[in-house]
Amino acid sequence: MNQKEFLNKWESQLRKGLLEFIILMYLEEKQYYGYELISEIKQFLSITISEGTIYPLLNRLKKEGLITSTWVEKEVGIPRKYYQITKEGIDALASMKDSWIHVNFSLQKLMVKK
Amino acid sequence: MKLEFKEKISERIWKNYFKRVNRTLKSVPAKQREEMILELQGHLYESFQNDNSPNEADGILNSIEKMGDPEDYLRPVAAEKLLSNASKSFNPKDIFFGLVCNFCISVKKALFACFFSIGYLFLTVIAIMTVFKIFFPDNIGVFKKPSGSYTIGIIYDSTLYTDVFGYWIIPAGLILSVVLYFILTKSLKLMTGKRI
Repeated sequence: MNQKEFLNKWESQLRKGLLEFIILMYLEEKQYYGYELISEIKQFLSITISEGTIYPLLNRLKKEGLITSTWVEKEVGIPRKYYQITKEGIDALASMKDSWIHVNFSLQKLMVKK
Repeated sequence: MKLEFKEKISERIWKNYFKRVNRTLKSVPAKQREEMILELQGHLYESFQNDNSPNEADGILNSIEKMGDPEDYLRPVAAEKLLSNASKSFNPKDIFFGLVCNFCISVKKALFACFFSIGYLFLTVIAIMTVFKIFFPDNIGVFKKPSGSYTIGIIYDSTLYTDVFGYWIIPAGLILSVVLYFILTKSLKLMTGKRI
């Protein structure tokens, strides 16, 4: 693997690792259904990701009580399952943001030192 | 949910995909399974509606490709749901299926590692034997026993054995090692290069 491939792979893995954090940030803003959410995330992150993988992540967040879901019937077509963040989700997201700031700050210090 | 397709092939592609989804989720309780399938159908249908392919079947195939293999992205969901339900219900059948499902995920990875380990070990042995043939020509190779059966490897006393290939085993062994190395490495690259 050459350097460019290594960097692309590293960046891709980094973005994928942050998916749950990113999902919660989107849901903090408004409710989304699965297809809508993954389409926005893919566009924002510019990563190649199997769309189906969002469902295990949403399932896990729901199991942890950080999000809930509601089915919304449409006039035409298949009903949509909308996801919303819970109070626990908002609290968890606030802690995740603090952790991210802390990690980011530590990395900045390390980069300046080197 | 019944959807209308213009082409019969599109309907077949759709049904086959959801057969795979159903199979992957077969151990999940019926109500939860139906909910998951409905959600995935909605996703796939919307993805297909937004696809710009002139051909309906191509549109569905593109959407399926973007979605991924249900065996990959749904198995953890199925395994987790089973164990979660089992721990709530205390039902031995649920516990058994939950554990089996989680075990299968681990076994698949273990078998994958075993297969490639054995493959690389085999080609290393061939390569070593090929080199050592030069130094121990009478003791290494493919030998025919007096009984008519064959043996491959290192023989301490080969007086009663017939060396089948002689020195031809050297180029044959080297070529086999190189070819096997490329096949294994290419397969490994293909199998690990899947998207998440």
